[in-house]
Amino acid sequence: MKRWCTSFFPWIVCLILLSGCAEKKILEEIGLITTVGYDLEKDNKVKATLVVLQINPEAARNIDVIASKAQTSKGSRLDANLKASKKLQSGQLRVALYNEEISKKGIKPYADTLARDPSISDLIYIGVVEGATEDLLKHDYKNIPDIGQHLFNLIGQLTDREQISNSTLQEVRQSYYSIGIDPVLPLIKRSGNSIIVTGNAIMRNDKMVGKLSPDESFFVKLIRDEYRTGSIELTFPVKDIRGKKHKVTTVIDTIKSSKKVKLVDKTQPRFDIDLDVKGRLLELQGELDLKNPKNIQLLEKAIGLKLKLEAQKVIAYCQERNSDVFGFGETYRSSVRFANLTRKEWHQKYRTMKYGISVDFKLIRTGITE
Amino acid sequence: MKKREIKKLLNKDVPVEKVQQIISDIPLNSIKLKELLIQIFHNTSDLKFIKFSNLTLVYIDNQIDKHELNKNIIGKLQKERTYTIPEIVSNLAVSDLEESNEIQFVVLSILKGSAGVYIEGEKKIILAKIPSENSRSITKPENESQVIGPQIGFNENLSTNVSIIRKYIKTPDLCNELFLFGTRTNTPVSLLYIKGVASEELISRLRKKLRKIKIDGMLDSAVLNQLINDDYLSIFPQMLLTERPDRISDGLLNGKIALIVDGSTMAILCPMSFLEFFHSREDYNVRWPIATFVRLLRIMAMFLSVFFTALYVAALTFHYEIIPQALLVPLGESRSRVPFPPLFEAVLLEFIIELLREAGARLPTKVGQTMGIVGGIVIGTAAVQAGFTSNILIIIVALGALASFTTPSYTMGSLIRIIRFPILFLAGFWGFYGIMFGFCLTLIHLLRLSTLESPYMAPFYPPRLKDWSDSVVRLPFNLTYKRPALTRPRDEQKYDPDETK
Repeated sequence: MKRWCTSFFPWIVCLILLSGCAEKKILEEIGLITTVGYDLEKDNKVKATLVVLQINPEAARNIDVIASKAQTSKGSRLDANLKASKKLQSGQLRVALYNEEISKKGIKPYADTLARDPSISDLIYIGVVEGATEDLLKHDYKNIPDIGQHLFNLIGQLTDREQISNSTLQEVRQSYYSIGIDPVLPLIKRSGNSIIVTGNAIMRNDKMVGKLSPDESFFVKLIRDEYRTGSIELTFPVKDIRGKKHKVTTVIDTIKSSKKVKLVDKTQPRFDIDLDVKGRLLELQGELDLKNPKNIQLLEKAIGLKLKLEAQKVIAYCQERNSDVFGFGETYRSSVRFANLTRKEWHQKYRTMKYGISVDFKLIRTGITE
Repeated sequence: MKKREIKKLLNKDVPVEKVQQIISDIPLNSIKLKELLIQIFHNTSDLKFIKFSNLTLVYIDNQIDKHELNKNIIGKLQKERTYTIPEIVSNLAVSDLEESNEIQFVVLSILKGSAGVYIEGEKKIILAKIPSENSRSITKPENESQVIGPQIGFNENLSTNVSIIRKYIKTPDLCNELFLFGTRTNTPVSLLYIKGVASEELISRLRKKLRKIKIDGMLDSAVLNQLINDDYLSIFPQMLLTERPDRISDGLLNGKIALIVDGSTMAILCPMSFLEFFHSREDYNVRWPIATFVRLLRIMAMFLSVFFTALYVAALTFHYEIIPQALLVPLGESRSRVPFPPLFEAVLLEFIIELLREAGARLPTKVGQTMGIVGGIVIGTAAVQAGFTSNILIIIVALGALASFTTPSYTMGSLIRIIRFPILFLAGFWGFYGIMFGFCLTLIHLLRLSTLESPYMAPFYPPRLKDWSDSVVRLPFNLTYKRPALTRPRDEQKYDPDETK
């Protein structure tokens, strides 16, 4: 009995005395920031637009959009608190958006403050907005009751379908901090009463330097990492076994890809890129007799060639913009001993980098072709 | 002189040894015997004496079977002649005959339902056991029902209960040691084990524990269970109480030891590890994938029952970050009408559920059914509409209550319901840290517990990998041919695994 008392007594005392210390954040008593958008103002101040979820069964809408101005992003939250009836908390933040001006200036300070806040998940999505984020978030959409949820679902489903690269805070920070790879962010735009993803913003370190269309973005992901269930539409000419030329459009899905990037020349960086792509033929527009297996072989070759040409175009564009979104620098860094690569050095080397690319495409299924 | 001593003895508490020393002799004369017995029984009205020829019959009216007394004892003796002890023994048509020259033994036997036959001038009394059978018939086990398996439960009669076990295990190796407990109730308790299977050391440990008990009354095995637990302060049951003879038989075959208390419908099985409380005999009657599924379900239900409400409270009070986006609006909407903080709301609802359960257990069966309906309506609908609780919490609390009833052992089930309250408070004060703290504290306690000085958390701590095949899961019989090491069985193998598929 005595042993029991002496071992449990301190705990019970602690429980009673210290229980007042934890800060309570009861769900219905706080305003949950679900989305945040940052715009650069002319006086170098930051304008933050917060989408706040305030649950009230009587209200027509659960969300409230608050705009506030301050020098820093956390300061803007303090300012926004003046306009909210509930204490604003950012633990449910799902999407952070930056407009183009901020992105061109560098998003690192803003992304860092998100990462430093322990209540914010590392898996929030980051995106770049064409136009003002305030306009995007404040617009009264006809069919979108909750803009925050809509944006999160939009980016989430595109990431799951592998139509855009993964742009979580964790991923972006990882590619920012590792030398030899640059982040890619989705580009979002309001168009009338809907929100569309217009492609990818390519970055140099943390600054936006160029834009890629969704089709071009496909090749970034193809070389940057691997596809498990991607899909793409391609239009290209193909010669059938009789030597007749067709112009066909194909849609290929459940693309599985693997890549092999090899550094062949260290002094003047030169890479060999081997892409192994497998896919299912979903749709074929054009006259091509698929009953003949030889035609299929020709089609595979033509698709491989098309992929190669497109990839070359995208790499050339990124080289011109000096943004290594493909991660060639990582391969360089891991192949060269004592490289001591810095960002600046790599970006200089990247501009003049040479590469050879070969694509091996295989159709795993063509479907019934009666 | 003797009389005075006896008188003194009966008024005061005197150690048993001394009593034996003083009243070991039977007086040589029937009148003296009558006087002595009347004194010992304090002139009780149901103590009867019948005298004819040189015999005196003594019995307690309500304890014996009248019909048997008339037919097999009085009917077999002739009033005209005198008898000697061997003559009586050969004349009486009673199977259970004993002779004794100790008055204490005689008194006890008479209390248990024997009729004493005294022959004038002899130093012995012949005891004919003809107790009245007033136990109820064997019925289905009320608290531990099974779908597939025998539908037989213990009743309150020790000999019936032992005979049911003997029906399951017909071997001379099944040993039955009798103990008497209670200085005032004199309750017989049977210690059952299978020689050659059960570990002698465990048996002697249990015997030692039993011998230490000094108590005046032993009315139920649940009391004995608490008296022989290793840690009497712990909230966790360390021995199984069950009313299923098949469960006991299964335990005996696995090298466990059983205790059956006269007058109790529950038998004690020990040693029991924590996990075995979540096993049911039915697990062996159904095919192994089904048994495995059900066992996993029970373990999950235990965690659900203990932690689900606490998780709700912690998430809503401190950790709004972890609530999935799709749940934010429904959770917030149901909470926004409730005027209390989450902790108070949850404790209130848990309390109401416990009230319902306790009321359901205490109320007469006829009222009990309406109780469920009333409770369901009161809590389910009215409380939400009045804005007392959120309907999501009702789902959670009801789920927790339901889950706690999946545990086959009732004692373990009620423990699970109790233990969630401290966890709930910890969650309300400290959030997830509190839950983790409570969990760790419980785990440390469980690891330190022992059952009959064997580890309580076996086979996980200490890890006994072979026994895992019949713990959280139940693998097919050819993989579970070994008896669990918890009981340190003398015969380790149940059967040949190669021949049993």
